[in-house]
Amino acid sequence: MFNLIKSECYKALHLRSVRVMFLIVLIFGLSSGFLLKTATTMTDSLSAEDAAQLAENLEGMPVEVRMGIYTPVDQSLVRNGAVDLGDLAMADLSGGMLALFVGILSALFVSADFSCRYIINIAGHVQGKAKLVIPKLLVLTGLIFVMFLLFHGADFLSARIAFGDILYVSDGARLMQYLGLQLLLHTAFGFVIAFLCFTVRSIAFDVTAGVLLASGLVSMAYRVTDIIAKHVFHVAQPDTGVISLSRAISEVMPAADASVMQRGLIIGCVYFAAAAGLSFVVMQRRDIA
Amino acid sequence: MDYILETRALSKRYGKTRAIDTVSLHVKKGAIYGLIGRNGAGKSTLLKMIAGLARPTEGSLQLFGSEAGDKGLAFSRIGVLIEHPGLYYNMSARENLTVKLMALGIREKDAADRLLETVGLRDTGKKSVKKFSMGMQQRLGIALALAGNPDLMLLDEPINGLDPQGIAEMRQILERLNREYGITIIISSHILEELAKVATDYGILHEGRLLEELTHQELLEKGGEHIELKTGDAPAACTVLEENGIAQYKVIDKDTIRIFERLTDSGNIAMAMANGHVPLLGIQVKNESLENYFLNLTGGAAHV
Repeated sequence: MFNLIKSECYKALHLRSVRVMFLIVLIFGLSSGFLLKTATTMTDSLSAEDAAQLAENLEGMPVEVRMGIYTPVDQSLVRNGAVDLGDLAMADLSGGMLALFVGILSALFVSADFSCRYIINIAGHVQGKAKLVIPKLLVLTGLIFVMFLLFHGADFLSARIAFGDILYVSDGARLMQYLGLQLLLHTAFGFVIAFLCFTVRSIAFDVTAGVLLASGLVSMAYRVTDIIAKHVFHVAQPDTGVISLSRAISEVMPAADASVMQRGLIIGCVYFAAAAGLSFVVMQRRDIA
Repeated sequence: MDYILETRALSKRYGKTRAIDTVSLHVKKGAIYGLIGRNGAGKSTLLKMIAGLARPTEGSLQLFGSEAGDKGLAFSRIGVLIEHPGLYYNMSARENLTVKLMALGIREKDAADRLLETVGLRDTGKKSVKKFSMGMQQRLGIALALAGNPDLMLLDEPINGLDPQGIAEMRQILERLNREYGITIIISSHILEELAKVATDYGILHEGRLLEELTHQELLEKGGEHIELKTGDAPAACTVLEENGIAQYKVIDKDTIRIFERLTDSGNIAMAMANGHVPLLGIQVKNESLENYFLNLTGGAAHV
């Protein structure tokens, strides 16, 4: 097992797709602070009436039907002339941008073995094909962690340059808790994409699925389920989207209630374990080639 | 008999399609076993099952004297090159080998270099595999199959798409691996003439079923030589042959006739054609017994 992990690490370090993804994330992280600065300046320049209208429009939109990647920036990012690092992290994570990168990275990394068929060189040497899943998921976890560090490191650095001294940390422990939970949710998301890769084994499908799921495509399915639950089963106020991973990513915030954080933790753990477990089953049962 | 591989009624179904149907294969230690079959005969599927990459629907296989299963170590003694080499095209040859060597826990520093040396790719340096010719990629595939010192190698169409020089190089590599390292090789190929140059045993697969197994010696005894006659008018040539008492012949296509008797009489046959005013494009004694035998067995000159 240790040998397989070493081999996966070597592969991750030498795969061009992984390097390119890290470079994109680094560039995005470095530009993020400046983009947020520009966005806050633009919202600052809005008239009071326009700002109120914008806020009203956003408030009226249910979370579960917000599809696509967005960065939730409004004037609240600059409060009392200061910018909280927690709000900054939330602005990047809750919008799903990093989830998009995680989805693509997971698809490229896990599918690589299948798309170039390198796996047939290794598979026969492993007793129990499910064992191929463990090193892959372990190294994927490491890659997502590195991506997180790289993104936030670059993001905080650019924010420090863009916002200067008004950048501060209001609650360090709370921020770490938030980032930790988001890391879990993003890793679980990466595992879901990995499960799709083990199942479908088409890099085109897997990358597309990563992009669409990060964009909240599943929210449409939850909406349909809600409509069915309401009209067929007469459930008063159905909200199946509450179990959605992408919704958890967007709802978990540094200032969120304990119940929201707790739900995020449970959803993250369940998706993490379910995706890993199903990946084992799929690899064990299906032919390698 | 000391078999390194023995399958017992091995079958593989995909839905209602039976890709492999009760195949019982026997491969002797040290053999170069040529697996012959048309496109879609089931050669790749059979090799995948032997390599442990696909699960048989029915039947079993015995590798190196013991039952092969998911829990056994037998599959780790097999090197594979199935369909085309599984390579990371943006990595170099050495990096591709290092990935596998690491996975197998092989720590010798010069292991990758030795394998590259064996297949003649030592000097490829940092050149990425996508810049390799097809022959070089196939040789790297062989090097990958050799990593871990396998006792059995499964090579599916390893000379497909290679130029004549590449084919000759591949033949030399396989002969050396078999002779010097004692590796048993199962090889499938469409190019039967090439296969006949290296194989010691044959298995003929047709529509998922193993029609026959025979040694090279048995093939020579059964097949025999023939005269290949190239003519611009096959019907007229047939008439001349029959007028000269030759009955054992076969029209292969509109220009080619194979004669299986009076093999030392090619001069007289040529003379008879000239006397009968039949245009003769060429005549020679050939020994394509493997192709001939295969075509006879499977019923016609469809694509092999």
